Amino acid sequence: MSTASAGGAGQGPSGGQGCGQYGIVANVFERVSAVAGEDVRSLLGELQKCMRCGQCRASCPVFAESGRETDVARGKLGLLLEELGGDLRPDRELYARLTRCVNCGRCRLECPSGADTGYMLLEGRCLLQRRIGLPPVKAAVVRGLFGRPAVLRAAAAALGLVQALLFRPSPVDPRHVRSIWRLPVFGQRMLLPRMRKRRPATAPALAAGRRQYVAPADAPVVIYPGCLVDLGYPELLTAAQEVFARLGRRVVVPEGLVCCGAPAAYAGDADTARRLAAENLKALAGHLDSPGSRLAFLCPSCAVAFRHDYPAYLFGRMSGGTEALAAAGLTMDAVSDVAAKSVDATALAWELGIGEHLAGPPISASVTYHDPCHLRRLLGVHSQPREALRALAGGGFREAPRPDSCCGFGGTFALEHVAASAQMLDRRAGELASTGAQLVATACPGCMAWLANGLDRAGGGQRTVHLIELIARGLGGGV
Amino acid sequence: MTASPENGTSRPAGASSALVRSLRALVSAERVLTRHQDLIVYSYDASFLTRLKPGLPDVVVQPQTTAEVAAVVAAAAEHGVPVTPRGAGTAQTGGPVPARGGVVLDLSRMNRVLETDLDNLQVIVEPGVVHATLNAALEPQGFFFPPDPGSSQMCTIGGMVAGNTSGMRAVKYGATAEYVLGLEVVLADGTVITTGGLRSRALKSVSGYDLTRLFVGSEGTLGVITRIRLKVIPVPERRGVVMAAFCSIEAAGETVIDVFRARLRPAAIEIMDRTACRAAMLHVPGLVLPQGEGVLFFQVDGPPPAVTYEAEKLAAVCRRRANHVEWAEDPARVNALWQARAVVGAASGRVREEATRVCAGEDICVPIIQVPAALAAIQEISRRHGFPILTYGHIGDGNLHAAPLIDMRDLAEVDRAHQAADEIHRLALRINGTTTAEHGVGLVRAAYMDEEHGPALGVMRAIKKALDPAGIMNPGKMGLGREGRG
Ligand SMILES: Cc1cc2nc3c(=O)[nH]c(=O)nc-3n(C[C@H](O)[C@H](O)[C@H](O)COP(=O)(O)OP(=O)(O)OC[C@H]3O[C@@H](n4cnc5c(N)ncnc54)[C@H](O)[C@@H]3O)c2cc1C
Ligand code: SF4
Ligand code: SF4
Repeated sequence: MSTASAGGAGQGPSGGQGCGQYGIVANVFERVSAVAGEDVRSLLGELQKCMRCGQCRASCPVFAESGRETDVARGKLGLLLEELGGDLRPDRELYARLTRCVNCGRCRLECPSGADTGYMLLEGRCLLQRRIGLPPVKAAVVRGLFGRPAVLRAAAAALGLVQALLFRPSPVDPRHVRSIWRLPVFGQRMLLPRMRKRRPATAPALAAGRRQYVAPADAPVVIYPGCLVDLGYPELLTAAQEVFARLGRRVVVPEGLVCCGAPAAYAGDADTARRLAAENLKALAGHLDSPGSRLAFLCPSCAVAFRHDYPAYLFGRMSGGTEALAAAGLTMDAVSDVAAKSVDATALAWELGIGEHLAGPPISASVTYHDPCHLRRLLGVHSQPREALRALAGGGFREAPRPDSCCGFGGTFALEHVAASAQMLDRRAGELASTGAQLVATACPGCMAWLANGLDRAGGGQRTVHLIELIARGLGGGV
Repeated sequence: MTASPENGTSRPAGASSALVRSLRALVSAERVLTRHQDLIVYSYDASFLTRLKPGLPDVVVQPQTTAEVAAVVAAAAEHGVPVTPRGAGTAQTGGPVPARGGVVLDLSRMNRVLETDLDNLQVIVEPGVVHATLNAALEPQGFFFPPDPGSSQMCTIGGMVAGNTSGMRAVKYGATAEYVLGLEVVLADGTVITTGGLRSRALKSVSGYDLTRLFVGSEGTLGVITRIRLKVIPVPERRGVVMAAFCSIEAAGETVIDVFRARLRPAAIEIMDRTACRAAMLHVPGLVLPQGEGVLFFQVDGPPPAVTYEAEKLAAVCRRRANHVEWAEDPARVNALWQARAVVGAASGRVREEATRVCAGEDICVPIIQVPAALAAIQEISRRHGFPILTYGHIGDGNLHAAPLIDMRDLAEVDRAHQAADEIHRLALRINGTTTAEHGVGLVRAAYMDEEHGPALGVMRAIKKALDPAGIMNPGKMGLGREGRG
């Protein structure tokens, strides 16, 4: 370590040799882009847009809890730049820092310079992952499980057995089960959605065949359930089917849909993510041909993958995107068309006028609402759920403090960074519990599951529900 | 300290590990950062210079109490190791970046509002409180801390005091200094002093040398600010905005002079050139700004009838030279217009693809009547160097922010940007201005200190020597070292 009197050790910005008043020598942007390939060059082009103003300190939910500069986008991008410059060895520690992120998009939306932090974080993790591979647990999860639909189903079935042995039904909410032991780091018993064997084929009301389709039959609402709904909360799918059927829409749940690929993409495994994306797009082929058709999501994170990440990142500006598109036999037009038709299910229901079908408050409970980051920030849906809840909650709708703050789940973030995630969770659950509302509504199965844990830890006896369930219940008995 | 990749190993090694050991004993271990990857993100701020040449600390400490700060500084002093205070690192000067390694004190986790004594028009805060957070807490109670930097959402009060930060409202409300009633400071040997009186709640005091003023704007070179007694004032009941577009920059400049001659005193007078307006519109979807070579924004505030009167009179003065005048009292429109101005600094990069805005030559202040000439000269510099420089700023006090937009992958352009910055700084000095109105000196303007201050720089060095004989407080900054560069 240099001492004060040693002065200008040559490392600090005031030292060094070269031309000009400040003694500037070749900088990392120039040095690396001179030798790098097109991928790295364009990443550098985006990286330089970060002018290091620090605005992202005001928006990052991970930083808000940790107070660590490495957690804000400015810090992560700084590390990335250093890695590209060759001054930082690519290693697990770096990977862990780059993934301390719930991929909420706040930094991107609020960056005054318009730096596409989403692209840079995904691409950066990807470059790193190609060099050092994924950490084994993460590889097992994003590649081995979510990357392979058959394995995922088998694993869910196995988890069901484990749950039967080592978990007990949650006293407040029977669709969740609670581990009989306390988890290390998490420090508490873990609540999981109870794994179900298979999704119900069709909603009961639909099976009864009492619906009249009012929309053209070729303009269906296609529902993408998503893994968590499929395996843990199939009743949400049933609810969505009922809601759109009530609106007179033909409801389709295509066969062959797989994980949206977001866990793999966020982890830096673009290949797996693209493979899943392509499979989904193939499964959807033919279902979304008519201009009026829509693809409705129960999980806003899946919606963001289809709506934004497929066209903009995975098959867009991320390296290898164009090639992968061609290799999968897809066109950008097709990807963009599906993207344009992708919407959040609750927002779609509202847009199609479900409000008029609600038959008075169906529930006597008071309700508060948690905004899923992806829904509020990236899909811009925040007023409709509140309107719906005002209509639905007999016991009143109660706004929680800091409306738009994160529950800390972030998919594999909760798995990889348990302590940080639990800290965010506890704060959020505390805020929601402080409203005194009996039910915590949200519109994302991930938030539902994670907040159920937070509320369980808080011990106030509140349950989580998905907005679509409340809307379905609000349709009342009459068909 | 070495520059070789030492990723994964804990730094520092050797003699200094003794210091790290004692730091860990003083401050809980998870707030003493020594991993190389943790240190890297403290090696820059928003300055162009540190984006090119980062300055790595050897260890970062995130203290939470004054006692911890004092203990850390004392330990560093004992080892003869430099200490660089840091708030949010939003400076554009290299100020919070260690020039010679050592300890960086990240004060952003000392972020409690300790007391809100509104009856006595004051609050006591820790240095890490974020500016916008403080005002968000105060405004519902009818008070505010007026300086309003563009970095309000993230910069800390400590950083604002250390840099005597100001913002758009400085025309009427002045800079941070005017609101600092007293400070708690940890000196270079770890001693803790209170300026402005130990038990004082007085709003005015001339007792003794004004040490408070000495530490305000000292950029971390004299001590670490650990507690701040701030004056707050009532929030004006209403705010209004007048916006006027001009066919020439000269007409805009003349209008500012007309406004003062008409005995008007707006809270803020801002100018944005054509490119700056374009940047703001690109950043805020739906924002429409009028066409013109220069656009002036005035903010007026006060009781509602006064706001209406002042805004109408302002609009009338502007109409003499402007081709478009608009005024708004509707809070939504007022906010939209001010938001446009507030973000333009960082949004500037949007007007040139494949380029970035660099903070260099970004803070000159010139006599008001010289503003049009300075703007024209900056445009000439821009043309000569072949990259856009957009300019916006607080024309009401002659403070101009120039923003060169360059491609950092192009070494020649990087070099020319430095030349341009130097030319802008020299331009300011030539026309009786200063190189920095509010951002500070830090590393990037140290070289102009001699020229700006002459023998007075010697006095500053004497003060520095008296308070920090070993030279451990943020060395290398402000030209205080004998070698001239710090
Ligand atoms: C987008 C943008 C807009 C800006 N707009 C304005 C503006 O309108 N007006 C303006 O004046 N500035 C502006 N700035 C510059 C900067 O934000 C301000 O100077 C701000 O006050 C710095 O606060 P900080 O907490 O980031 O301090 P830092 O950048 O961390 O530190 C600034 C200096 O203060 C010292 N310091 C910090 N905390 C302490 C402490 N507790 N004790 C002793 N020394 C300390 C540091 O050593 C350093 O020298 C802007 C910057 C950006 C990026
Ligand atoms: S807000 Fe954008 S430009 Fe500013 S530091 Fe964060 S990423 Fe960089
Ligand atoms: S995406 Fe969200 S969590 Fe990730 S760095 Fe940006 S603001 Fe933070």
